[in-house]
Amino acid sequence: MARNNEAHDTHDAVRFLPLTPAMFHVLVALADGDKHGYAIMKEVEERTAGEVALSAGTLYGLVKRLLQDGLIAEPRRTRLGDEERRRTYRLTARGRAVAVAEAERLDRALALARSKRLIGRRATP
Amino acid sequence: MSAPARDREAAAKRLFRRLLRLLPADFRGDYGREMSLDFQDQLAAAEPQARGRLVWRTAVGLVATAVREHWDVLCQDFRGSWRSWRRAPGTALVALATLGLGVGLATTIFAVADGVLLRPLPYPDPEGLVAIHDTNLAKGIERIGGTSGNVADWRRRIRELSGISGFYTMGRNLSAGAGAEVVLTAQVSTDFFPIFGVRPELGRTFTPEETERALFNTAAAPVGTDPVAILSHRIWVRRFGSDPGVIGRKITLERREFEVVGVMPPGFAVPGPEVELWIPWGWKDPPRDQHYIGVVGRLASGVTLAAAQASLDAVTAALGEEYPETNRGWGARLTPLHDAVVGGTRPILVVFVVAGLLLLGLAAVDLTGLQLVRASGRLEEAAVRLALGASRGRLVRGLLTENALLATLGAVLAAGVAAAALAGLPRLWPDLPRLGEVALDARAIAVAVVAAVAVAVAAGIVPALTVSRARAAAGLRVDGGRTTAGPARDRLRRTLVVAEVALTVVLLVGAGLLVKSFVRLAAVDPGFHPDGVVVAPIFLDMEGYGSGEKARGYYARLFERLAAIPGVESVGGATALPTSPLGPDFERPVWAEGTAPEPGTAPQADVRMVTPDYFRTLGIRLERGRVFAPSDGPEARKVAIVNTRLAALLWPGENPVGRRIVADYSGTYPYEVVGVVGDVRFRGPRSAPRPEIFFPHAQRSYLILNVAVKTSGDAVALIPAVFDALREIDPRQPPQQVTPLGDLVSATVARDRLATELLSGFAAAAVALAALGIYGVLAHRVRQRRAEIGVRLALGARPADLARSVCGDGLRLALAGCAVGVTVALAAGGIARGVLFEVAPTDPAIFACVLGAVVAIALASAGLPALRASRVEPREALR
Repeated sequence: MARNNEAHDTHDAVRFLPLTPAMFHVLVALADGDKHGYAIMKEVEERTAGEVALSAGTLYGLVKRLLQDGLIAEPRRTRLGDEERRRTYRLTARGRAVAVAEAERLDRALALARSKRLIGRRATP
Repeated sequence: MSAPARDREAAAKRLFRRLLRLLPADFRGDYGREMSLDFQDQLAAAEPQARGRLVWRTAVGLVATAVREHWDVLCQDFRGSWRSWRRAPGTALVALATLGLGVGLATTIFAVADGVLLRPLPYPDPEGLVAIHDTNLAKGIERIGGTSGNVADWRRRIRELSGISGFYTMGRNLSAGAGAEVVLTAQVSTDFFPIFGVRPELGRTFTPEETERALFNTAAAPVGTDPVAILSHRIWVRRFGSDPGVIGRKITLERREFEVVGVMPPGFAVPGPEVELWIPWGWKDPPRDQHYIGVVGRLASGVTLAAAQASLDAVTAALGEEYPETNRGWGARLTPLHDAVVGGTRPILVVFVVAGLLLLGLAAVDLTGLQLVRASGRLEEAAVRLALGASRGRLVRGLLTENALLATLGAVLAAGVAAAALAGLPRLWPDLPRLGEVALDARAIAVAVVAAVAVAVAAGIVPALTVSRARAAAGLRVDGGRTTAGPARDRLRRTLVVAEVALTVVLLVGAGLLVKSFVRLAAVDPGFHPDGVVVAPIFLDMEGYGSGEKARGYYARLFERLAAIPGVESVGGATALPTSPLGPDFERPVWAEGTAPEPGTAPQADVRMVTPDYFRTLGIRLERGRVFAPSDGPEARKVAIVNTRLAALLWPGENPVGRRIVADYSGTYPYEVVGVVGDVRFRGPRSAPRPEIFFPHAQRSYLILNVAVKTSGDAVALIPAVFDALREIDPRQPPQQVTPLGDLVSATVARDRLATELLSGFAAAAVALAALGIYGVLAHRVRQRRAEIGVRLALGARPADLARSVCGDGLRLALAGCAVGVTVALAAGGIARGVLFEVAPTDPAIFACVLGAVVAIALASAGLPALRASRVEPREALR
């Protein structure tokens, strides 16, 4: 069943491509665990060295769409003392499949550019 | 953190909070807290020098998100509206049709009123343009053409007018290239083109020298040297193929060569849109007693109309002293040219505008009723959405978006309706002034859009608020499958029906008054019989037919040829025919021989030259004596025929036959009166008969004659044969037109007919809507009160009593509407006064008929609900 679901998600993921850079980076930021909005913005900015800088004005438009498309989910909020916790977001299986599909698409594009010597070979560690 | 830095941070947070309000309320409710917290975190973590960039980036992102989210909400609402309409397409179509037709007709009326009344004349500084006409109040003359002699003096003496010009229009034979035709020309005195300040499209206007030498003889034939002409844009395109080389070209007018010196641009329609050619008009010893020319002028810079009028009054008074024989008692009046051109149409256009507004109001009321019905059916949906967390504001926004969609489609449909109506305007109202300037332009389309939006939104507000007030518990409680309607909504529906009835009463009263007025107008005896008669104006040119003998010969041959056409009963001719706009039409002083009136005090009579069979052909009654005979030739004694009005004026209570009348016409001669004919309403049923004197055409052989041919059969079928006869007699004389006289007579009441038909159509639509409204309210009440009705029947109430109760309810609605409608109709009746003919705006018979009709309609509408109420089965109703 899990394998069937995985196959379905993979097939389903293609219809979401191509993702905008901002959407891709949000999904990638959630790949290693739940995060709230500020944490997502901070990670995306750090990982892209400021190239993709999400603001509070733009992030939640993306979050709403990703939630509607089922690529991310929102775990139930809990109270922490007198303060309500920040809302966090979690990457769903579908969201993971979409992020993988997008990464593979970008990888293929990169490989094509390398084959044409548009960019140099990847440095081997 | 320093104080300035704290201030900047506080300002940034304030800006963020303000920009948050741009977002849709639902989005803000979902994510606003998180966005604020995230922004605060970002602001705290940012380097001082990077905070400005952060604030800017956040603000831009917020605005972009707000735009996108609002667009998403709009698309969602449009999709919802579309689904809702597909579920009930009938209601949606009726709503769209109501909006489209109501706004479309209102837009049409606006376009007409705008093009004719509101827009200034299409000339530079149009407010300075004036028309001048002569008056003689002692003789009861309020408005008549000017005289060239007086105009020449005004031009010299009145400084308050920077230019004054006289003009006269008549048809003339034009030959240019292939074919000949009669075109309407305007001979214009000096100053004409400078007054209007319009530059020619090609070439130039007339020079003072060209105008000075452009003389005409008494038959209005050009006799000056090197004559010149200016073409209209229309004839330049139509006949000269828009040839830019037309300047300097020779054209033949009245068999004389004219040089084309200019072409006027499109839209230059002075003195009228039918004028195709202008020729200069020089005056040498211009007369002061022939009141037939049109006069236009321009106020000098900084001069008011009142100041110019005062100066004109002083000059006319002075002329009355200097030339008592011709000028005593004569004055002149200045009118803004715009008023002179469109003034006669203003009363009827005001009636149309009011009718259009009433129709728009009716569309709004009806649409509100429809939306209210739809809203009632959506209470369950609204309750479910509220229970699932939707905000009331969201519900209202969705419903208003639906109305906006309706408004958009309604505006498109309205524009289509207006375009179709305006396309038919030339046929419906051919003599509408400034017809060429009426168009569905940007202003009219803007009115359509604004009206559609206003009506759709206004009609949707109350239903939207009604739905938004649905309570989750109340809305989901159903009762036998029907939702329970609130008493407030019921009161609103009843108020709407009362408003519908009131508007219907006003429209019905207006239509009733116009119908009665039109019936009275149509019943007016014109004094002649147009049935079976066709008329053809003939303009013989001076070069070919300059002598009276040649003209008489032509007409004798023509009449003989026409009389030979099978079915023709008689043929006659006159220089001016009733209701025909073509031909010389002027008046001269006349008096009974031996009375010798003071100079300038003799009564004026319209002068006509007629052939012997003219009166028989037109069916004008011979009251006394005889008509002209072939023996009344050029060498016979001078004779005349007078009409009843002139006879009563000069010889009250006496038989004028055998008396002698003196006419100051090309010399002062006595004429023996040989006959008296009946009065004719020369310019239509609204024009009073005027004194007329007739001379034999054989004794004064005008080149221009309106030929009338009477047939025992269909007048239209005669037209081709008349055309053939005209071409046969002289191929160089192109027949201008052959028209059934009945058509010309109809044209004099075309405007009244249009107003009557239009308002009757509006009233019929209003009646249908009001009847539907009353039926709808009563049917709904019967449905609502089924249980109550069932109880009453079970307790012994008679079905007839219940039916009477329902009818009574309908009657109360109708009477309430009638009270309001009658009040409005009485208050606004003065608007129609200028349009009505021998009917008072408060005609009690019309009001009584309308009230009776509305009561009958209300009772008829209540019939079916009353029947249903009387047939309610108590057991079914109580289950």
